[in-house]
Amino acid sequence: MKTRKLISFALCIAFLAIYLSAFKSPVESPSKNIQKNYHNYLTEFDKEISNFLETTKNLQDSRSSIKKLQTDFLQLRREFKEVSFLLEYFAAQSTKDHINGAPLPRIERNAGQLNVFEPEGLQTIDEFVFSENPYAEKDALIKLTEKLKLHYSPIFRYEVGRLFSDREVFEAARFGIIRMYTLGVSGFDSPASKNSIEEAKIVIEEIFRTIKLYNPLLEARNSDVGEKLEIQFKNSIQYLATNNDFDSFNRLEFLKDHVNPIFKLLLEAQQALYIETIYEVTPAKQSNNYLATNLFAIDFINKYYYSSLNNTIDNEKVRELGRLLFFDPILSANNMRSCASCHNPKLAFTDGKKKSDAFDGNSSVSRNSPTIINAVYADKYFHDMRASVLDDQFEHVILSEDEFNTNYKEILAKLNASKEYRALFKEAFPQFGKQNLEKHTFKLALVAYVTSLSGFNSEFDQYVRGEIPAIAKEVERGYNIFMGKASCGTCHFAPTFNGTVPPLYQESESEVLGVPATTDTINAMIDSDLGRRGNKNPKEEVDFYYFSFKTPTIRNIALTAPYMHNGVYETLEEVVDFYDVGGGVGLGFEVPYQTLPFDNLSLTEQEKADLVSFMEALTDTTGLTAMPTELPKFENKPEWNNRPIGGLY
Amino acid sequence: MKKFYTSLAAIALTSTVAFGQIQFDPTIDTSYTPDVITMSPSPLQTQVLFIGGVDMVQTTATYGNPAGAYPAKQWHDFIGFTPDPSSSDLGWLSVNHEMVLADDNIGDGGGMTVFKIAREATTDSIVIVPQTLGDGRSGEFFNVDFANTVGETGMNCGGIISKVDGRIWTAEEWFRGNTASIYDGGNGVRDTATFTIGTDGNASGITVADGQTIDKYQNFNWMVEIDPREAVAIRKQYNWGRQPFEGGVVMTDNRTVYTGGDATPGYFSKFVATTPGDFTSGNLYVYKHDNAGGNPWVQVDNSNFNNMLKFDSVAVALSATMFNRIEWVTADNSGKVYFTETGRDNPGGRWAGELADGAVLAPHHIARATAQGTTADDAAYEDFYGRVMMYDPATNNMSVKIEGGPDLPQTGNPPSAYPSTHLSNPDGLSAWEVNGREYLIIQEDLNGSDYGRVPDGTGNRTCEIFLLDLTIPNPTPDDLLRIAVVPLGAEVTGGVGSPDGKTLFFNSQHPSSSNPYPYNNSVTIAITGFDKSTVGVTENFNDDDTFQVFPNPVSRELRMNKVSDVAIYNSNGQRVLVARQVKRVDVSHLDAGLYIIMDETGNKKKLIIE
Repeated sequence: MKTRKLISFALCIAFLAIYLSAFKSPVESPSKNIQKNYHNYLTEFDKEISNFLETTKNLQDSRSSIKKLQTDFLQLRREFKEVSFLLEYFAAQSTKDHINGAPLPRIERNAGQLNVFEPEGLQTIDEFVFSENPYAEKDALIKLTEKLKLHYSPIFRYEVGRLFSDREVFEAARFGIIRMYTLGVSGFDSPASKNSIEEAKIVIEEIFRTIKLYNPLLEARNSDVGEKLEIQFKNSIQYLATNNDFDSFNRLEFLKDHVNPIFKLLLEAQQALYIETIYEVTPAKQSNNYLATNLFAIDFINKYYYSSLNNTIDNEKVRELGRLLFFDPILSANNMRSCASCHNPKLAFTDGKKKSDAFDGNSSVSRNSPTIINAVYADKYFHDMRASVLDDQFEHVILSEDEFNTNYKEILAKLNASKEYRALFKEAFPQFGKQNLEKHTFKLALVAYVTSLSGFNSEFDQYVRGEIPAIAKEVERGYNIFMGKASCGTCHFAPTFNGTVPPLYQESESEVLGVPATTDTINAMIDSDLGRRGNKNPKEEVDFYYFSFKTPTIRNIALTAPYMHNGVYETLEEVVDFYDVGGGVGLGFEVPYQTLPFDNLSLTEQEKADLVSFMEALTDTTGLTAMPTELPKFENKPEWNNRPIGGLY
Repeated sequence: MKKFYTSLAAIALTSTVAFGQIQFDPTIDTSYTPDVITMSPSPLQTQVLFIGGVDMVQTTATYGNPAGAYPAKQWHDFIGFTPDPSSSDLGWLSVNHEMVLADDNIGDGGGMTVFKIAREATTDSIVIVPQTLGDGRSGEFFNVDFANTVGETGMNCGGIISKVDGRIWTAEEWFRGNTASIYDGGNGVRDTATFTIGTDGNASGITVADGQTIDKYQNFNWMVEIDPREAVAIRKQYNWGRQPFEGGVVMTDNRTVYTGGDATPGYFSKFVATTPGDFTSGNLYVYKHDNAGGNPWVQVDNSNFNNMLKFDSVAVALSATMFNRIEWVTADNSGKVYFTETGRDNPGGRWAGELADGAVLAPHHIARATAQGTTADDAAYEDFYGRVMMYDPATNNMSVKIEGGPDLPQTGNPPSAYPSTHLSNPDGLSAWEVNGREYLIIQEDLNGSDYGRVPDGTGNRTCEIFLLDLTIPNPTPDDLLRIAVVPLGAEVTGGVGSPDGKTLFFNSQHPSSSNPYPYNNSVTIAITGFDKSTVGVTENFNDDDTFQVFPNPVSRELRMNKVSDVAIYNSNGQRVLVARQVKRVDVSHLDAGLYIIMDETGNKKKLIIE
C-alpha cells in the first residue's frame, strides 16, 4: 500500500508538471486590486486637498485655528504618503514639479524663453504651516493650496486611468523604499513639520499592504519570500512605531535591520514570481543598478549612466590608457602639468590648496580642487555646474589658459608622435578602426579612468553591508546626526553623499550657502564668486543661482582639506561650525536665496565631534591611488621622455 | 488530488486575459514552434554626415584672426536643403547651431554650417562634395560668416526653406531683452556696441532698416537669409518684424512667406513680396481669425521701423490671434500650410494680459478650454501635448491637422484603450513626398515626461520622429509611423527629406550621454532607402482571433492583430524582452538571429530577425 501510494503521488506530480508546462496556466496577478486601491488613495488625497483648502480659508488668528491648520496639514501629508510610493514612481516629474518638490523656485523646462516658477507644493506649504506665525501667511497658504489642487487635477485624471504591470509595482515599491529612507527619514520632504518617522511608517505599511497581495502567488511557486517579507515588514513597522522621535531615531540601525533587508527581499520576490525586470523592457541605460540588493552596495548606482562610456567599451586596457593620460603632463602646453597636478591620488585626488595653482606657476585658478573619487555620479560638473557631461568636463581644463592652456588638436598631434601611444590607442579601441586616436577616444579613455575611481567601500559602507561586525559608536552617532538632526543628508544624499538626487540619481543639485571670503568673523564678507549664476549658460541666468555651488560628495573628505569652493576652511570642525550657525545668513550676510536653513542647528560639541568622526569613516581610496610607473616614450622627442609622472607642478 | 486538478483547471480556464498577468517563465522550451515570422533587414541605411565639435569648418578672417579650419559648433537644429539644378550633385545642406557661444574664428553667438552632398550612384549613399567657394575657402564644411556681414546671430533654431529654389533663412529663437544677456559675461557675443544696419557694404536693401542704429540685442531675433552656396549671410529680414522666430515657409509664388513665433502668445504672420523673389520690400500681415470682412490677414505697417522692433505689441494692438508656441512651418504640394503648435502646460497666465489688451485666442483653444470646463486664460487651462495646425490659403480655413496626446480624460474614468503611440510637443515639421505619396515629418521636443507624454513604464524619454501620411483623413496619433533609428534620449531636429524621396536628413541634438560615439555629439544623420520600402505597411490581419504578427522592417516593429502581453525568448529559450498590453513591439535593439515570440495565452511563433 505504502509503495503504491508513493508511486501514485509521484505520478500526480509528474502529471501536474506536464499539465503546467503544457498549459502555462496564467496566474492571476493582484495588479487589478492594486490599481483599485491606487484609485481610492488618489481620490482620498484629492478630497483631503479640498478639505485643507477650506481650512486655510477659515484660518483665524487663534491658537486653536492654527492647531487645526497644522493637524489638517499633517493629515493631508498622511494621505499623500499613502499614495506616494506609486504616485511618485508613476508621475515622478509632475509630482516633483507640483506636489512634493523642494520648496525652491525652478526654471521652466524646454521653454522658448527663460521662465521661473515660484516654489509650490506640500514642502512649501509645510514651511508656512509650521512657521512662527502661520496666520500672517494666510493668503499665501490659500494660494499655494489652490495651486496644489489645480496641478493635482491632471495628475489625478491621468493616474486613475493608468494600467500597470507587476514589474512596475515592484519597481515602485523598491524605489519607494529608497525614497522613504533618503528623502523621508532624513527630513528632506518635511522641512518644518518633521513628522518624518510617522510618514516613513505609512509608506512602509502601504508597500507591505500592496506586496502582501502577491503572497498566494509566491506560495504557489513554493517560495518562502512572502513569509520572510511579512515578518520583516511587521518588524519594521513595529520599529517605527516605537522609535518615533526625529532627533533620536537611529537611522543606521534602521538602515541595516530594516531598509536593506526589505529592499533585498522585494527583489527576491519579484524574481521568484518570474516578473521581468526593466532590462527586458528597454535597452535604455538605467541610472540605478536594479539588481543591487543593498543601498550601500558598491554598484548600487550604474556608473555608466553618466557618460558615453558603457560596459562594451570599458575594459582594463581603456582604463589603463586613461590612467596614463591622467598622469601625463604631455597633455599641457608646456608638458609640465597633468590632471594629477591638481588631483593628487594621495589626497583623494585633490591638491591640499585653497585654490589650485595656475598654469603660470605663480597665480591660482579661481576655485578649490574637488575630489575625483566618485565624481562620476553627477549630471553636471565643476563647482558652477558649467559642464553637463563628464566627457565634456576635460575640455574646460584643456582650453583654459590657467590650466592646460592648449587644445585637442595640439594634444592629439603630440600623442600621435608616440609609437607607444599609437599602439595603446589601437589596442584599447579596436572598434573604432583607423579613428582610434581621436578626440572621442582620448575622452573615452579619460572617462574610463575617472569612472573606475568609484564605488562605495569605506569602513562605513562595509559595516552597512554587514561585512564587518562593528563600527565605532561615535561614527554611528555621527551618521545619525548627519542624516537627522543636522539635516546634512537632505543635500548630501545617501549613499553618494553628494547632490545627486535619489531615488534615480540622475540630476545634480547646487546649493546657496553664503560661504565667506575669509575666516575673518569680525569683518566677514560673502565670497564674491557668483557660482552657478556666472556659469555662462544662457538658460541658467536666474537670480536664485547667485552664489550657488554644486553639492560635492563628502566621501573621502578627511583627505580633501581645505574645504568649500574657495578653500576657506582648513578643518572639518570649521565647516560644521559654519553650518551650525546657519551659513551666510547666520554670519550676517544678505543671501536672499540661501538654501541652507538660516537658523542655528543647536549642535552640541559632542554632536559636532561625532559628525566629524562619521565623515572621517568615509575614507576609501584602496586600490584607487596607484600611479603609473612609467609614461609612453616619444621616439623623436627625447627631451619629452624625462617628463615627471604626474607633472612638474 | 483529483479535486486539486479540477480547481486548478478551473482557475486556468476562468481567469480572464487581464492586464498584468505573470505568465512568462524566464526560460521556455523552444522546440515546438511551427509558425515562422521573418523580419527582413531594414531597407534603410544610416550614415553620419556631420559631427559637431569634431568635423572642421572652414572659416573666414574674423575678429582680426585669419581664415582657417576649426571644430564646428554643436547643438544642431534646423537643416535646410537647397537643390543644385546645375550639376548632378544633390545640393547643399545648411545646419543651424542653436547656441550662443564666443568663438574667435567661427564668430560669436550661434551659427550655421553648410556643406554640399551628392548621391553615390551604385549604393544610393550620400557623399560630401569638396568645394572651393568664391572667397577662396576650400574644404568640405563651411562656416556661414555672420560676424563680418549682417552681425552675429543667436540660438539658430528653426528656419525657412523656399519651396521655389531652396533659398534658406535661419531663425533666431530665445528672445532677448537686453545686451547684457547677449554678452553673457564674455561667453556669448562680445561686441556689445550699438549696431548700425547696412554699413561696410552690407546694406540689407530694406529701406526702413538701412542706416538705423539699434542696441546690439535688437539685432537678434530676426529671420536671416543665407547663401548656402557661398556660406555667407545675406540679410536679416528687418521688414518681417523682430519675433521669437522658429519656422517659416516660402510659397511657390516666390512672394508669400508664412512664419510663426515660439512664445505664449505666439503669432502667425505673413509677408508678401512686391516682386517675386525680392524679399526686401513687400507687405507684412498678422493672422487674425475673426477679422471683419473674412480676410484674416491684418496689415502691419512695416515702413515704421519701431513697429518692426516691437512686433508683439503691434500684433496685440491689431487684436491678432494668439497661439501657444508656434514652432516649424511647412507647406504641401497643394499649397496647404502646416505648423506645429508645441504647447505649454498651463498657458492661461501667459496670454491673459494680451487678451485683456485686445489680442484674441485661437478658436481651437477656446473650444479646448470650454471642453475642459474653463477658459483659455485661466490657470486651469491645460495644453500638455500641442498639435499640428493646417491653414489653407485658398479658403482661409484654419484647423487642427492632428491633435497631440491622446488627451487626458476630463473625468476620473480610465481610458477605453491603452495608447500605443503618443504625440507630444511636436516641434520640427516638414512635408515630404515618397513614391508619389505625401507625408509630414513630425518631430517631438518634449516639455516633460508625465501626463502620458511618453510611452509608459520605461522611463524612456526619447523624443520621437514620425511620418504622417497626408492622405489619411482626420488622423490620430495611432496613424503615426515611428522612425526607429533615432539614438535614445536625443532631441531630434531638422528632419527634411531629399526631393527624390530616398533620404531623410535629421539632426540628433544634445543627445543623452548614454549614447556611444558619435551619437554623444550633435550629429547630422542621413537615412536612405525610403523609396525602396513601403513606408506605411498595411497589415493584412485575418478576422479571426488567432495570434497574428506582422513585421515592419522600416519601423523595426512587430505589429499584432490585438492588444496583448508578449515575451520574446532567444534561441536558448531565455526571456530577453517583455512588453505589456501592446499592439506593437519595437525590436530595433535585438541582434539579428532566431527568437521565439509568445503571447499572453502561450501561443508561440518563431521570429527570425535579419
